[in-house]
Amino acid sequence: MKKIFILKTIVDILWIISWPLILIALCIVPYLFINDDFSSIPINIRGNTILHFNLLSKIILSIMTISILLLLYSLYLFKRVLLLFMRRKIFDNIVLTNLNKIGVLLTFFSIINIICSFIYNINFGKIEFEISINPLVSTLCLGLFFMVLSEIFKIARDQKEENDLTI
Amino acid sequence: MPIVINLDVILAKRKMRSKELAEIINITTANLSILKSGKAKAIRFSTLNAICKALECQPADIIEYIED
Repeated sequence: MKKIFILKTIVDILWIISWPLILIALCIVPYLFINDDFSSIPINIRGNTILHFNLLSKIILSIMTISILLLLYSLYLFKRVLLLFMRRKIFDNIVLTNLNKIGVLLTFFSIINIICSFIYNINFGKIEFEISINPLVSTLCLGLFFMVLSEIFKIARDQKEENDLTI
Repeated sequence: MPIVINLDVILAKRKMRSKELAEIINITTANLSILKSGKAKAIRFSTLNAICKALECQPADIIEYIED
């Protein structure tokens, strides 16, 4: 089970690095609405530098910033799941609940960001067709996968229980 | 559950303890306890075979169906 130790270490490092992001996210939202001039701070949405700072773009930016908190919470839940796996509590109720929550959070994060990017591009940017794998769509698939995984773990737990009670 | 396990009755008739039976049929006392208490979800034929052989009885002596 060495792989799980490596994964847990990486997730722990990511979690520690993400702490400043949480603080920045919480500070940036009120700053967006107070300040009107962002020429000194280049802000990008999916490679497009934001040039228009009206109410709509500020709302979009705020929503996208807050959605990062969803992502960070899912990272925290994943950390807890890995800790339970290391303690060999594979089919614990907390694992099942957390896997489902991670899936829901990732799904919401990707949907919110897809919609916000689309609205921003329609209003201020340009619509482009690109032949590539959209990272947000990949995140959406990952979110749905975690929800499916939660269901599969539930089936596995029930089967294990039945097997344990077979004499 | 409508299926009732009468293992205690047979053990008393044969004057055998649960621990002895568990050792003879090679299962743990914990598993035998699960069986006796009715918490078991299923029983393997091999286990049923071993119990009947050890207690010199029929499956019907151990397993009974009582409608709710």
